[in-house]
Amino acid sequence: MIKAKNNSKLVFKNARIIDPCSGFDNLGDLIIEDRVIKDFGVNLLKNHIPDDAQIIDCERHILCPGFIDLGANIGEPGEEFKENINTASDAALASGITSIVCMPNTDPVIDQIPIIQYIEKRAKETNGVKIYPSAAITKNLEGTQLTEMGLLLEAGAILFSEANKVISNTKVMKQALTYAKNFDATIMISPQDPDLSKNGVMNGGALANRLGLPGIPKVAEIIQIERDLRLLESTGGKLHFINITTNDAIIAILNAKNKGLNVTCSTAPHYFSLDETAVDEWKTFAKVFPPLREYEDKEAIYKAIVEDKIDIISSHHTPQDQDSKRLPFEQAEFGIIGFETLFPISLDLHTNGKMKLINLIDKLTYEPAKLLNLNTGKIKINAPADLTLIDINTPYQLILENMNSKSKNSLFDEYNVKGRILCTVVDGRIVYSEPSFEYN
Amino acid sequence: MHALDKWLRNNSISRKTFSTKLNISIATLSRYLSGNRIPKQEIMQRIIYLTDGKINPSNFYIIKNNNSSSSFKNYKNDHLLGIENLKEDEISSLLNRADEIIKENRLEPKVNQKYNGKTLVNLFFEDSTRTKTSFELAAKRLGIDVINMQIETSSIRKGESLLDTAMTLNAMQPDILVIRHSLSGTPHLLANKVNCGVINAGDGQHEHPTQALLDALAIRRRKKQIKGLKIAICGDIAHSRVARSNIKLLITMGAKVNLIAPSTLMAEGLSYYGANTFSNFKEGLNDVDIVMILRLQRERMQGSYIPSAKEYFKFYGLDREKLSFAKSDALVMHPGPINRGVEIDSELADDINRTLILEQVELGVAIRMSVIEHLIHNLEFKK
Repeated sequence: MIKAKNNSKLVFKNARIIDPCSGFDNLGDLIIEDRVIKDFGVNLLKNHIPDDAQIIDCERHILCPGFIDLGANIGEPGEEFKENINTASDAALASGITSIVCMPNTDPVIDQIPIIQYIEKRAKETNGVKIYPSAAITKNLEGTQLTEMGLLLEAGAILFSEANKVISNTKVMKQALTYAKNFDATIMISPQDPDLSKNGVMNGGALANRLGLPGIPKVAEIIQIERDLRLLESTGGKLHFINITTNDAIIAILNAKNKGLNVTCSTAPHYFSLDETAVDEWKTFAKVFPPLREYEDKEAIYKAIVEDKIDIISSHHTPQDQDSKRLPFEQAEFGIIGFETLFPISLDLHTNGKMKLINLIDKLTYEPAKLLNLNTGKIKINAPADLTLIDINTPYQLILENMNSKSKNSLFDEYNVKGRILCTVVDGRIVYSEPSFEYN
Repeated sequence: MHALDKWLRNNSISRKTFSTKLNISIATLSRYLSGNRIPKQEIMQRIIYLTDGKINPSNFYIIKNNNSSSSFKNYKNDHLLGIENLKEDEISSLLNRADEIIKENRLEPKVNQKYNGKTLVNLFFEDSTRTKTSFELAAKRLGIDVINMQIETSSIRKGESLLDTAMTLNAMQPDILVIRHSLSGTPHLLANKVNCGVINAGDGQHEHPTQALLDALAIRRRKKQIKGLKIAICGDIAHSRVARSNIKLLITMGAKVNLIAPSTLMAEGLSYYGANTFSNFKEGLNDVDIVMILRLQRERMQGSYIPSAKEYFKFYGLDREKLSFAKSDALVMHPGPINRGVEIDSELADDINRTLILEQVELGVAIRMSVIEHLIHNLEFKK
C-alpha cells in the first residue's frame, strides 16, 4: 500500500535507530527534510521539535536503512503476467526494501541501452522502490560476445550478471573480468557448473534418486566458484557470487578473500531455512535454482552468515504464475518469491542464531550498498532518506494470499514469524505503512 | 453360494422377505446374489444393518472364494502410485488376489459382468505396447470398458495441456485412470486433481509399480516365498523406474537385494532402502536366487555412461558363464523388451528352463486385474 505523501519534513521519534555503517544502535529521533536525513541522534527533540513536520512515534521499534536487494526478478520486460514493476514495487516496499537490483534475464535480455532506459522509465512512472538494472555480461546471455559494458554503465547499469547462467567458456569469462575492470564494474555470478547441472531440477543425491528426478550435484557449485576465483586471481577485478548454497563454496570464497581477492558472496533466506526435503513429493514451489540442498548445507549457510562469512542476504525474488508451477516437477519453472519473506525469515538468525541485530541488518543494507557503490543503505546526515521501520517483537503469520507480489509462489505460507515492516520511506516519502500502524 | 444367500438360509429368511425389507425387487436381490450387480450405497447400508454387519461390502466383490474375502481389506488406497510407502500386507493383498485370479482361470476369455459399466482410461504419454495392452486386457477380462489415449510425445513438450487433459477426462467420469508419463511424479499430480482411481504405469525414472508386482508374483510362484531370497538387479539402475519399484518391493517383502551396475549407471542413495551395490558382476551374483536384468536404453549405449554396447555386454551382459556364479537353480527375469546381445545373451534369453520372461508377461494381466479390482472396491466402498 503506497501512500503518496509529500511532506517535505518528517520526524521519527522514539525509535531504536540502527545504522550498521556507523555502528549506531540507540534510542533516538531522526529528522528528514528535503528527501535526505537532516539529523538524527539521542534526545534530538528535547530542545526543539520542528512544528511544521509530520511526527511519527516509533514506539521504540527499529528504524534502520531500507534494505537493498540484489538479483530480484521483477517481470519486466517480458513476463508481466508473473510480476510487473508496480506489483514488484508494492511487494518490495511492504518488505522494507527501498532499492532492488533487477536481473538481466528478461525478454528481451538487458544487454542494450534502450532496455535499461525502458526499465528506468517504468521505475520512474511507478515512483516507488528504487530499481537498479543489472546488465548481461554477454549478448543475449549466450556466453560468447561481451556487451557494451561502458555504455551500459553510463546508461545506468549497476553491475553485470548472467542471471542464473554462468559463462561456460573460460576465455570469455576471463575477458569479461578483465574488461569490466576498466570501469571498476562488478561481475555477479550465480555459480553452478552448466554441464553438471544440465537438466537437473533439484539437489542431486539420494532424495532425487528416490523421486526419479535428475539432480544438480553439490560439486557443480564449487567447481564453478574455483574456476572463477582462479580467473579473478589472474585478472583482478570485482566478483560477486550470488545464491551460495554449500559449505565448500563458503570455504573457497573465504580463502580467496584471505588472499586479498575482491570477492564477496550472498545467499537467500530459503537456502538457510529450508532443505531439499521441502520438495516432499514433487512440490514445485520448492523448485529453485540453485536447488535447496541437504540439511547439513542449510545449517552451514546459516552458521556462515552468523559468523560473517557471507556478506549479503538477498531475496532471490523469482515470481512464477500458477501455470508455470502447476506442472510435472521437471517441467515447472524454477523460483520462489522472496521480498515479503526476506526480513521475517532472516530475523531467525538474530532470534535463534544469536546474531547481533545490527550485523544482520548490515547484510541487508550497508554491505549491498558497498558492493553497488550506492550512497544509501546507511543513516548519515545528508544521505537519501531510505528507511524502514520494523517491529521485531510481535509475532504474526505470513499469509500467501496477502502478499503483494503478483505471483504467490512461496513456501513460507502460514509461517509464524516476527519482523513485520511497519513503515517504509524512500527519498523522504512514506511509501508504505502497515495498515494497523497509525503514525499520525 | 453367496455369503448373503448363506446368511438368509441360516436365519430362515426367504429372498422375498428380505427383498421387501430392502425395498427392492426380488429380481434385483437375485442379481446381487449372482454377482451381476453390486448394491448401491443406501441398500448396502440396509443390508449391513439387517444382517447385523455379518454381510459387508466385501462380500459383493468376491464371489467365488469366500476364504479370500480378507484379501481386499489390506489394500486401502484409492490409487496405486508407487511401491514406496506400501506395507508388506498391502503388497501381499495385491499378490494374493492375482493368484486367485489365476486359479479361477479368469485369464481365459469369458463374459464377466461384475464390473460392467465401469470405465478405464489408458492415458499414455509415452510409447508402450506391453503395459498398455496388458492393462487393456486386464480391464476387458473384468468386463470394463477401455478407452485408449495415446498422446503424441511432441505435444506433451508444451506441458500446459496435461492438467487440462486430466480434467477433461475426469469430467467423463472414468473409474480408473492408468497413466504413463516420461516425467516423474506426474501420476501423483493427476491423482490430486481427479476423482477416480489412478494407476501409475510408469513415471519418468521414478516408479513402475505394476511391473514390480508382477515380478514379485512370478518369483513367489516359482520360489514359494520372497522372504529370504537373494535377488540381483543388474543394469541401468540410475535411470530405471522398474529397478526402483523392485528394490522397494523386494526389500519390503524380506528379500536381500544386490544392485549390479557400472558406476556411471548406479544411483546414489538407493542403499537407503537396504540394497547392496556392486560394480563387479560376478561378485554381485554370488549365491543369488534370482537375476533380474534391466533393459539398457539405446541412448545410453554411447556417450558418457558406457562407451559401447560391446563393452557393456562383455562386463555387464548376462551369459551362461556369468550366471554360473549364481545359485545353480537361479532364475533369470527381464521386464522386456530385450536387447539381445546387449544386456542378455540371446540363447540364454530363450531358455525356458532358466528364464521367466514370458511368464512375466502373462502374470502382468493377472496383477493388473487384481490392482483394478482393489481400486474399484475401495472407491465403491468409499462412496
